[in-house]
Amino acid sequence: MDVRNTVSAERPERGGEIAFDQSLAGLAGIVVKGFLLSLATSGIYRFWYATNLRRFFWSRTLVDGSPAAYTGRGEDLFVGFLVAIVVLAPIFAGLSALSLLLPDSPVIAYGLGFVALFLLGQFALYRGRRYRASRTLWRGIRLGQDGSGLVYAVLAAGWWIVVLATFGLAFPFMRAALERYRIRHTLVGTSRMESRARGLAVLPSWLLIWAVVVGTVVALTILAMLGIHARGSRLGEVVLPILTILVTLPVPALYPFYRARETRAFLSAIRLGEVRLVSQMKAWDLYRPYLAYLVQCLKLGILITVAAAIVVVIMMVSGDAVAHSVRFAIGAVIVVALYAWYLVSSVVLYVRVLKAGLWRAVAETTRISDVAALAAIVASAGGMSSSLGEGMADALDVGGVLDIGF
Amino acid sequence: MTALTGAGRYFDGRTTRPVPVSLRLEAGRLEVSGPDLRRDWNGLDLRAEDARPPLMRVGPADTPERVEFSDEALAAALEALCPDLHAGAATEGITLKVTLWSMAAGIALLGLAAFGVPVLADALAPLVPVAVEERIGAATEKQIGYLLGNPAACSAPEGQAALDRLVTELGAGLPPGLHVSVRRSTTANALTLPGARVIVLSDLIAQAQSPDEFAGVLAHEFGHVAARDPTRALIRSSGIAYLLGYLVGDLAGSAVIVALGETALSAGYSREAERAADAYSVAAMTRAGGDASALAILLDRIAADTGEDLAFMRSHPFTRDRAAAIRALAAAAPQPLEGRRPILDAPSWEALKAICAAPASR
Repeated sequence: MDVRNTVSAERPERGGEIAFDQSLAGLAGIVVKGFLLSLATSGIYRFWYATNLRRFFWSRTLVDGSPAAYTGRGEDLFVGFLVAIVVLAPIFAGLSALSLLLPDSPVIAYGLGFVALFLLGQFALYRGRRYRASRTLWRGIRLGQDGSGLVYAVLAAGWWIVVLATFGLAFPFMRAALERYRIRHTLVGTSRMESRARGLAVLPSWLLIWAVVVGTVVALTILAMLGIHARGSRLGEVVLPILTILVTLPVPALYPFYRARETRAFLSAIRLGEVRLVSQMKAWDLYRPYLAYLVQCLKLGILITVAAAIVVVIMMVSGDAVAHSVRFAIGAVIVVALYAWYLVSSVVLYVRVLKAGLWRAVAETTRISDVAALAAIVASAGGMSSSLGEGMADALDVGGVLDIGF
Repeated sequence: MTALTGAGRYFDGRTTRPVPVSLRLEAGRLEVSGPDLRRDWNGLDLRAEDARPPLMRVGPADTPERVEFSDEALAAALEALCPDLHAGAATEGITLKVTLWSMAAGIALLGLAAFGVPVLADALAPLVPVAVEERIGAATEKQIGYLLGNPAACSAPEGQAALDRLVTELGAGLPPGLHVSVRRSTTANALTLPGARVIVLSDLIAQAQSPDEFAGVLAHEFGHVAARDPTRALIRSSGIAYLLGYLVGDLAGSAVIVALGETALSAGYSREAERAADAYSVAAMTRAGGDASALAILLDRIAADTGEDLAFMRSHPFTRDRAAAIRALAAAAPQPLEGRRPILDAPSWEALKAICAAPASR
């Protein structure tokens, strides 16, 4: 048995571990059921699926030995979604009417639409977080979030303008500012969280990525110019495309490195009264789930290819033993079965390997500095908040079922 | 029955302070005892929260008090003892309800997309102001030109004059903004855009073997103009895509599902619109004294069905069905008394065929 999952009643004054279930028993069942029922109900079951996933992830996360609890309900999310449709419908109608009325200046229509959807999306993300916080309990203490979704949306928009104006250099400062707003409006019972996240702390890691991106753009420009001159030659046809791919590869590969540094800095900057969080996250902790997911997907692909090859060989060997139409029917059934197997397996892999892996990476590299001081946290009388934000986030396709971290 | 004992932690639900306690399960009751603490809970009242076995977090349903312990024997005994241990927590039982209701809702939304939206589009299309339609048409024409690779507009003066005569003859009763243009293309087709704009791709003129064949197609497009089909189709497909997009949500491949669904749902209506435009063509050709069945000859020649593709996905009806319907309508139409002559005289038809020839080369 994993020692971190046992109750440490005998040594309560030690620093508290945050642990995540190692076996993930039962998760695949939730995913398969959720995926198939979502298909069968043309997507409406997704709200209950998301709820089941969250219940699983929350309850398998042990903070100082006690599991977190998610008390949200699929009905809440569904109602929030319905309300969001009604709220969004006139906005969407207005935006499309605008683009019809101004066909000659599409930039204005697109620009306005983009700004409106961005603000709505940020608003939805913030309010969705409020819903999740107010449905999260630990040792019977409810989390909560105040602050204004509108202020958050404006703050995010303003910071994005700064980021664009500085060619991306301000990105870590934006992340820190938004993190501070979120954390400082997060409550555990009656205790307010405090964040001392600073953009400067992660600026060096960001500069590394930034330099690579700028270098890539410069390199691609040079390659493109070379390509114009070398058209038709071996250099232009073979070498330059390969170089282009090689030059572009490091950009996405470096982002987890930055996210790991940021997670470590921002989580360690969180205070709750006397309690501090300490994150030991290394870049490798985030790369591992991605690599594991990649490997598992490759294995699945190979497995399915081999299965398909075996089927083809059997069909060819069996020859004219069965009628043509029967063989066609059997072949169609097998193709559908293989495709269904592939779909279901890849969804299971995505949740079990990637999502759970990232979740575990954050949970298990984080500790609570002083568990004894946690005893000062007292339940609040605050109620639960509405699910409009979650519904809107779903309708706008922003945010995920499982947002990692606080 | 012997008593089961174990160690655990007690939480009062108002603070996060853990209190080490000893647990004792006997005669259907769970006893919790620790420093200054003594609870005696009835097993029937106990509820367990989600946790990974063997960890169990359990307490009475009506208080926030809980004990946590990791003891397989004790957990198994509680599972056996308390019938309502997991009641009210899980979404069991609700799954079937949700599935059935949401399937019903999905069917209702699909029904709305399939039957409600087209009715709405029919009702809304005439309400769109001409100026707006005109603007949309201009923007769409730009877009189409871009998609076709910005083909040159063909307007050799003699050809244009012949085309204008055909348009005047066939387009009686159409809105005054009617605008027919010819674009150089290797595709034989004609399109109608919102705002009474018709684009003829030049290969259609090249492939037509008589002026009546070409005039039949032109009259068919005028049928779309008269019915404001492009505006209707625009409203309809955006409405359907909007509804299906909400319905499908964030599932893998949802964009494909929406696109397929939109095509399938729109196709039925556009097939109907095509038949109506064919009927309009026959009527207009008959009125102008042309050969209304020439359209069927042209269709049979250049748009022969290439196979049994998915009939319900086709935006146009099968050509053989269309051609047969056109011939039947043409046969039923009143025939001109003094015998039939081509709708354009030979020199005009030659000029129209040369509408794409650059003026400089002649």
